[in-house]
Amino acid sequence: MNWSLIDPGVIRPWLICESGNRWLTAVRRFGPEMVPAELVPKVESASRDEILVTLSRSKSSVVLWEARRESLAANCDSLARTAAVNPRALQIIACDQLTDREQLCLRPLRVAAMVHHPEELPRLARMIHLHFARWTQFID
Amino acid sequence: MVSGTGIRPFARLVDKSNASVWAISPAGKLIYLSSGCDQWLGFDSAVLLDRRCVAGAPVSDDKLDLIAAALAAPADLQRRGTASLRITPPCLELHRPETREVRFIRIGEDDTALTFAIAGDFNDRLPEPELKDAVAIRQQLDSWRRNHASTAINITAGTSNEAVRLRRRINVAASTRTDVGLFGPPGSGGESILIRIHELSAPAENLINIDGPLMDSDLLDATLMPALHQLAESKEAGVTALVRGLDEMPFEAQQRLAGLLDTFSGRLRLLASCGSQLLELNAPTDDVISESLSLDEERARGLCSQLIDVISSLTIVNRPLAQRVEDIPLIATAMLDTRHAAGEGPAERINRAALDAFVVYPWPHNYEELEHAIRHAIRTAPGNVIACEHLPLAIRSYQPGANLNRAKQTKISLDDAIQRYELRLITETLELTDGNRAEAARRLGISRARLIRRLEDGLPNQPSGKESPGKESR
Repeated sequence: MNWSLIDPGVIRPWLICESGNRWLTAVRRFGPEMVPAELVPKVESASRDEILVTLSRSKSSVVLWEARRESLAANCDSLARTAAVNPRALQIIACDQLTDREQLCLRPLRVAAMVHHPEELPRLARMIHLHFARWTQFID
Repeated sequence: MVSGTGIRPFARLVDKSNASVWAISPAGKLIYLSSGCDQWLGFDSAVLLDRRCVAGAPVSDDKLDLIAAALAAPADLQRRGTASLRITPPCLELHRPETREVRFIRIGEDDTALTFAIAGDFNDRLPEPELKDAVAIRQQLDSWRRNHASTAINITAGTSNEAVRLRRRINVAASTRTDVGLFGPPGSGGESILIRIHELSAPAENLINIDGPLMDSDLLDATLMPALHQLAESKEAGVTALVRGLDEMPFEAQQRLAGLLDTFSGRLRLLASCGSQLLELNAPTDDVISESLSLDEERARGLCSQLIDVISSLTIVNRPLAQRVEDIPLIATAMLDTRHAAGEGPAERINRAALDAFVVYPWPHNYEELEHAIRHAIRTAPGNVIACEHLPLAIRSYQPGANLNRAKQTKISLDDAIQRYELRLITETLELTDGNRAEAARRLGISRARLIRRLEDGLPNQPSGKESPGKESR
């Protein structure tokens, strides 16, 4: 997609940090339906550091972190740093292998929602819609 | 390495690891216990050496003999070679040893057979995440079958609001003999729902199949003739007309059908699939039951007002599959189960990657397309698991995302896009020329005045003729 043709004011980043491309595919499928009609989500895969850099200079956005047992500490750190860098970022955790206890560890770190499989993403449509609508007044 | 000298460093390492490890001789006596056993049992485990450690063998009342016997391998170890057991040794004094998972391994044959035991926390018995997911889907499916045994049509499986509403409507339709209008997109399996409703609500009643688009008044009469005779002969008789594509049935035939339904009121029942125009029927300002429509309006609607009155007694809405995303894994598994039970192939479950592909695919042909995909996958899959590579090409190669964004993109005006592009080129050229506008205009092949105008248009907040900080205007 040629992003230069789109008004930058209506582009909203939707960043995904994962090891494969399972969630990137899912967000590309369901993401555009989940944001208000006047906005365009720019769905991209990114590393932890790239996400922090992008968020430090962006407006309201959504970040989806894939959480795994072996990288739980790094996930906690990323969640906390993201919340500090950009409080307007809506953070979603994608986890299909974490125990309930491990999921509870992540909850206090400004996690808006947790999903286990791609079919659960459309359930978040209302939340994400409201999240973007909340910051619509800041559209450039 | 000579075993006589190598065993000591090995034993030291085992002791250092704090693992509870012991060995049982071919004669069934404890010949080694690591220091980790001391901590577990709560005493110096060396006192257990040379004590009998055979499952089911008689033991004395000596507590140490009882503890040694508790550490024995299961009786079938000799046959299987490995075994797992949860062991809680008896307490010797105040210390109560915790229950531990123990793995036994037998090496050697008969008189030389040694048994090694390792106690600890093992997670190799936990199911793979993939299997765990399959088990969860299976449990949901079993629960659905248990609770909705009578109306368990595969497309009603699921936990979404849409699935719940669909099931409730079908239950109501199945428990009363009433006219039913079913709204759903093509390929949504409406006919199977209507047949199921008929089987449950009036199984003994004759069912007449009518293909709506192919009918005219005369053909409709001819099709219904036997049923009409039956209704005329007996006041007790009842007949159900199952109409496919009622909204596509010619208007005259619709009016004739409405007349027959009126003549045999209550005894001739209509079960009809009516396309996907329910929104029009439910429009808030459009009370279709009380409002009298002109003929043109009725034709535009696709259904004559008398038939709308009839199907308004109970309407069922079957949403497109793409709007029931969270139900897709369950529906697909239910379809696979049905075919597996019919002996169509060895496949018993769909792996997560294939389910993800199902979830992401937009299903333009709805449930029928899913049914076709499952059939294709069963034929292609050689084993008991359907994977991504066994799915039809259209599904496994589907790349989502671009279309919706492109649709939104069309709202952006061409003028705006060109203006932004021009501004970006000008800004980049100005940076290259260190803010020299005359040079930038020359490189871009435009006049300086035009360049300034573009800058003013593109940067409305920037005062005319001023450069950004650090840039010198020339």
